[in-house]
Amino acid sequence: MTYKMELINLKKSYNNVKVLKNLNLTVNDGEFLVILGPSGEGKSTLLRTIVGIESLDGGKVTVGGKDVTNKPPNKRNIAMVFQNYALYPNMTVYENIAFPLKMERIGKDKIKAKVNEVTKLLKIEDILNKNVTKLSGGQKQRVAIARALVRDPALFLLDEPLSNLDARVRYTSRQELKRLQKELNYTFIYVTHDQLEASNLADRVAVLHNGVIEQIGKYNELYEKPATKWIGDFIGTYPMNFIDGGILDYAGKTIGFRPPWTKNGNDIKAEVNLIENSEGNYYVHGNVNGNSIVIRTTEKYSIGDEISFNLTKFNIYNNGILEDVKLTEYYKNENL
Amino acid sequence: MLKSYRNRNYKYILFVLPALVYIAILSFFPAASVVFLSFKTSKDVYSLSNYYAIKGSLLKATYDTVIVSFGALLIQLFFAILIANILIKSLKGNKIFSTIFIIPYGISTVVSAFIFSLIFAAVGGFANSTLHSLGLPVIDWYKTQYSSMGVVMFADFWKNTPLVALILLGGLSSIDPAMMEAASVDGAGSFRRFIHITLPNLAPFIAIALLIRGVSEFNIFALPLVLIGYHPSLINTLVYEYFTSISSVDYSYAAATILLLIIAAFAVLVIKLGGTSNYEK
Amino acid sequence: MKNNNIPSYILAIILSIIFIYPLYILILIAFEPISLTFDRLYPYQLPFDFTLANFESSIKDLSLITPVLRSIVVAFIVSILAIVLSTSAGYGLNKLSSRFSNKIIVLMFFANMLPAIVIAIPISVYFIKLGLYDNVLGIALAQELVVLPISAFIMLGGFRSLPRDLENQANIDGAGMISTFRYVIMPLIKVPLTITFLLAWMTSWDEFTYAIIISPLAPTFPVSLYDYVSRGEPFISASFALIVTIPVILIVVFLQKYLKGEYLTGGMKA
Repeated sequence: MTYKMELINLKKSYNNVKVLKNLNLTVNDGEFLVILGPSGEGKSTLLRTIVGIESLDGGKVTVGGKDVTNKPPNKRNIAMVFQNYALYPNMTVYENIAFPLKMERIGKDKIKAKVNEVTKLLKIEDILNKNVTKLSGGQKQRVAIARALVRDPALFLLDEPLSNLDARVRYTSRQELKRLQKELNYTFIYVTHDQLEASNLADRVAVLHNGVIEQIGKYNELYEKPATKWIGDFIGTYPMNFIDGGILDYAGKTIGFRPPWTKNGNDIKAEVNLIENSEGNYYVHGNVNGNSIVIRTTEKYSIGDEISFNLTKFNIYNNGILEDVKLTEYYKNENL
Repeated sequence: MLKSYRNRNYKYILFVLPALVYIAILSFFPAASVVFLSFKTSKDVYSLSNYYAIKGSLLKATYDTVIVSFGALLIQLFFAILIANILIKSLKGNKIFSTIFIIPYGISTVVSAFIFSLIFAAVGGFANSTLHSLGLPVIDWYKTQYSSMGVVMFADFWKNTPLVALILLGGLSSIDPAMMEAASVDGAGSFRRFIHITLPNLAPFIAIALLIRGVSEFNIFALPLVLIGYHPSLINTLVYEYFTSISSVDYSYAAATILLLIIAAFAVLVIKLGGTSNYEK
Repeated sequence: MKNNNIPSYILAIILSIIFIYPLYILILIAFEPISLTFDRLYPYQLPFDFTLANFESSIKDLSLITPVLRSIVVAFIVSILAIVLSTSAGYGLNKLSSRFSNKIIVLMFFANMLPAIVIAIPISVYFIKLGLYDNVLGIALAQELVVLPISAFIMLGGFRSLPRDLENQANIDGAGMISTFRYVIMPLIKVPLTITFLLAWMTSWDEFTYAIIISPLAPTFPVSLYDYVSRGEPFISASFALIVTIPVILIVVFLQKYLKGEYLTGGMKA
């Protein structure tokens, strides 16, 4: 079974600091939704309120159409994988995975069958009798996921589950998570500050900023059409460049463009102050009327050169909010 | 339901409440009632007359208690620092030494007092037996009040030094050895290392030990009662002496109140002398 | 390096002799015939003879067995009550903000500083009315005051050392409060629980002030030992004192490693 989840006007504060301010979010059934945001934006708090281990100051959480706001965590049928996995150190791998079923008072044989099923799926059959404190990071993560899977929950919450793994394991785990989610068709809500994870895993990405979801959509949409200047700045390896709109006849507004959205030309001029070489391209840093910018080019420049370019496309921001998306006469698909 | 669920952080006070209520009813309330009763002279008459009636013995007992307490405390502290400094070195046989050093902690106070009463008995005592076999004159350990108090101090030192040593050992092992090495590279000898590095780092632990032990020191009761009875009376034994004779129960409240005052003064003293900051840490 | 250690060794050995001598004397008088110890002006210090007669006569003396049994019962009540109250308190304190919980702990230790004799006297008056005077439960209830703060403190340290989010995880996995405690928390706080239990047991076993004031006619072992000494009949109780001391020494030796800094100061960090 898959479930849809709705968060309606969630409010939460700590010591008078508002962490969630009327947050609204709908997660479709079978969707892989990534909640992306910098550290300290309350991503974990959001997950904790959804699962019920943190109380809300106001608002409503529904799962599959049912209001669960006032139910304790053990009655919500939501699974969660913590950043540190929170495995029960006094139990073996098998006992850890079987624990949620034991709490449902399911028969021993049935528990065994279900545990075997998920451990096979996660390829951890051979470590069932090990003490969880002796496992590697990757194994711990699998056990934590198996424990979440085994109970067939309505919803899956994952709080930065890959951040404690080293790079290689992180890569394979990422692929595996995606495969599992699609195969089993579960609804996943995944919290991270890592854009690579967001772009690789998510059906949709929700950006959490200032206690609300500032934008939600496919990662590409967030990259191409950031709804606010803040998101333009946050998303992407390089932040979006912002220059004064007056340069291109949009006085009083701001123009935003990505480093690749440029072409040789004479519209905009900048002095080069830093050059980075990255996989065949140069990222040239410069300054336009006091705004630092970065553009991508294949040509070689030196520090102190003047670089001039035209924009192939750009976004117009009014008071920090996206107003319009423009393709220019220089726009050609192959430029992207 | 909703409300209590939302205030979940406050509901945890409920778990602490049984212990707090227990302490309030059986500790704070009785202590307050002692202070109250100490002023009660006869039916519905409140005055200081209980205090006046026993002024002399109260002053004497207070004086003796302070001497015994500070004396025992200093001896304990001195030997505990010594012991902790021995145990922190990885000497061969350290395990045996540390086990021996903790034995007194496991012998109950009354049993300790009992053994010391046999050791220091004026007639047939083991201490005198030792002196005698060495050809030395025997000593009447209880001849003067001060020698009697010395016996109490010694027994108290024996019984309670292990605990102080353990606390200080914890403090010593928390000192970064790199600091010691740096100091000896800088040319500091072992004595200067002790004064300039060990002692300052040990200070918070000494404060904790002083607070824990010092308060119990003013409360010693079983040791003096068994060893010296009421010759002289320390405050605790004085309270007990008054309490056990029907005619003077009221006096026991006055003496108990003075004891409360001394303890409070001592606690404030230790906390003011730098205990607080370390305690809160 | 080696020369450096010689003074330490000498000092350690002298201190060892001082610390072990009284225990040696207790063993000596327990196993020597009275004619070589109590009956002599200068008792022998070395074991010239061996007898179990002292044990036999003291075990036959029922007046000592009853107080020991009473002490055992009281110690168990005290330690079980300590476990219950301090587990609850430690759990709650761990959940409260440390600013708040520190204040409660200081308050508890403040209560601990109140002299036992000051509190015991008024309590004995209430207990007479409640039928708890000269009563095992009465002694235990009073002695509980001595152990409660340190027990709560040790348990707080135990709860603080639990991995983060474990309890939340159990909740999410469908466990209610009781199941969480039984299957997840309980197995992880066995060590602090054991320490709390043994420390409470020992403290009660040793406690004298409350015991003598609240139950003078139904004495615990320390009180009855005092009675014998004050009546001038110490030899009857000597071998008994040894029997009841050995188990406690074993407990202390076992507890040794936990008594160091960690548990005495561990709960203090915020």
